[in-house]
Amino acid sequence: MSKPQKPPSSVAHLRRMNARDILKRPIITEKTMTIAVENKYTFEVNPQANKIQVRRAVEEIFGVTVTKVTTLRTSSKVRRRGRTLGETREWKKAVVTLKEGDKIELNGTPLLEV
Amino acid sequence: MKVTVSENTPVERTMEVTVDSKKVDQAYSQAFEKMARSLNLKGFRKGKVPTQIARRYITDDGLAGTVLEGMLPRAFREALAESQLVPLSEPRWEIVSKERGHDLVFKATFEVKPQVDITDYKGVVINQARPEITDEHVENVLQDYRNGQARLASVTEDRGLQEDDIALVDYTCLHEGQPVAHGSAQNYLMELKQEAYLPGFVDNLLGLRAGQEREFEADFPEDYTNEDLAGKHVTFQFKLHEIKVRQLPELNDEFAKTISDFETLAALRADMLEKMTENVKVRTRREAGSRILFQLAGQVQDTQVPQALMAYKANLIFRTLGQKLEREQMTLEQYMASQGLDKDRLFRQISAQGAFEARIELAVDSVARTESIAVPSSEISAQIAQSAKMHGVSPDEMEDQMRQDGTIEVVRYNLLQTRVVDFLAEHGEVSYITPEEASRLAEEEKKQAEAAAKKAEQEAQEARKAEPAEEAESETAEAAPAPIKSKTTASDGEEDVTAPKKKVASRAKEAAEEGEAEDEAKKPRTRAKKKEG
Repeated sequence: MSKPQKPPSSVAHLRRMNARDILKRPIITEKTMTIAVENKYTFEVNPQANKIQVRRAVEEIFGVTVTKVTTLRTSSKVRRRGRTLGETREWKKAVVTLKEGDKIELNGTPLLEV
Repeated sequence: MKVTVSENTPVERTMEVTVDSKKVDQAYSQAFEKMARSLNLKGFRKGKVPTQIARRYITDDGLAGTVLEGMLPRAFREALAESQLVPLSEPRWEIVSKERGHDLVFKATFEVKPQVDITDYKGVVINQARPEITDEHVENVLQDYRNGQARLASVTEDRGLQEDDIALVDYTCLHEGQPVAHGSAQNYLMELKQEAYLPGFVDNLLGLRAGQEREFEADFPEDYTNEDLAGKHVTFQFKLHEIKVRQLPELNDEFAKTISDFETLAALRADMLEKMTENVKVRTRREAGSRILFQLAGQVQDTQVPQALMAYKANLIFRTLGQKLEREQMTLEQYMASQGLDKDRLFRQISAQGAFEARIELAVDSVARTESIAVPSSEISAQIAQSAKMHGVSPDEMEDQMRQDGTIEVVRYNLLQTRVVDFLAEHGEVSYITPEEASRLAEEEKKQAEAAAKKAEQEAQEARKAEPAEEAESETAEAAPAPIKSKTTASDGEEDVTAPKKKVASRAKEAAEEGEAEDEAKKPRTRAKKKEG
């Protein structure tokens, strides 16, 4: 009978976070398509990740050079369904600016084509 | 566009159409744009999805349907115009290739009206009876006019009720001592005609004097149209108020003046004789023309009659029947019951008629083509205007509607058929025979037509498992259906069910006996004049 393992401390956990745990999905909407013209790609990222980690993750996965990362948190919102109250999750977005000429492709097709 | 037409049977064509790949691509792009405009994707407002993204959601396979929907009918129309074919039936489609970047290739199989060549339509000898119009006929019509102008006069002398009198009565009908529903009336006028009531009923009332009462018993027959009364034994109580007689106006110049523009009776008689003779002549000619046409229809080969045309004609017949029943406020079930038909037999009868009509149309077309008989559009417009007036709409509206439901084609065809019939009558020879001989010939002809109709019917039934034809039940196309009896009960039943009367239709009946010739003459004179002109 082994004891339940103690969860790792947040800092230690962050250090070990995988690039693919940081980047969750690209966000493709009208808005992100508009800024894609400026070589800016938007992702949903792990809320625990910071800009530096996002930059490293993008560079590692897509093999591009990132010049700037801005992040924003979308706070959770209270939602009611009938009598029960709940809330939406809190999540984080990151807008990543690439070096001129760099592009992100997924399976050979451009992620965001402009 | 490339069109090749192959002839499968005399009436069936398969058209293979190839549309250039450029046009196909264009259609695909257009379809894509249209689709993209309505693409609803999360993160984008409707129609704002960029092309690159939309392309992931809209595939060419998905577009093929839309593309075909847009291209097929147009290509088909163009191909038809190019090959000058007019399909009678909805085509069977076969799409050979529809991919983007390739030519669009499809096959359409449909029926067309074959060009039947009918020869020997000139100089056909037709035996046709022409009833001679005599003074007697004129006299009958005059008599009808008098009846129409008749007035009721009270009988002052003290006498008993006689046949053909008109009695003003109160009556009650009792069944087992209880009054029957709708079984009584006050001040009811009844004409004592034997044929208008149940046999023997009138005899019960004869000899009754004004002011007297009489009670008698009567039995309704088992098959009486009012089911509540059928087979019942009832008691009638009658009270006679007054005896009236029909007083006819004197047949003199005065009478001639009231019913016509003529000053003297002799002039009216002469005019009537002339008009009636003319009418009969015209009608006989037309009849002869139709008979020639029917003969010609026999020249049409079985294989030359498209199924679609038969079905179309049968449909028309069914529609006309439906309209007729609607006017008479009958349901189809009632009609079938009155004709002793079941669904299956009605269907077969109508199909057989349709097949016959289809042959006629082919014959008409053939003659019209060789003789370049056509219907001027002015005549069609006139027809449209006429029916527009009848329906109380503008001619344009009427035309639109007729175009939509295809009635306009029916109108055109009917006019064409009339013209062809006239032509045939003009170029045929009519040998006049006695009415007796004519009726014998008509009988024979009817049998022939029946045989032909049966044959056509069997053909029509080929696909289905044709049952052996029962006794000749199919009427010829021109034979009018028997008068519908239940209609009378429907209208009479309400006010007065018990007086066991049939419909008093002396005038109509006489007219039927005299033939339609007089009928024509009976119509207002203006109408007759118009016909001549």
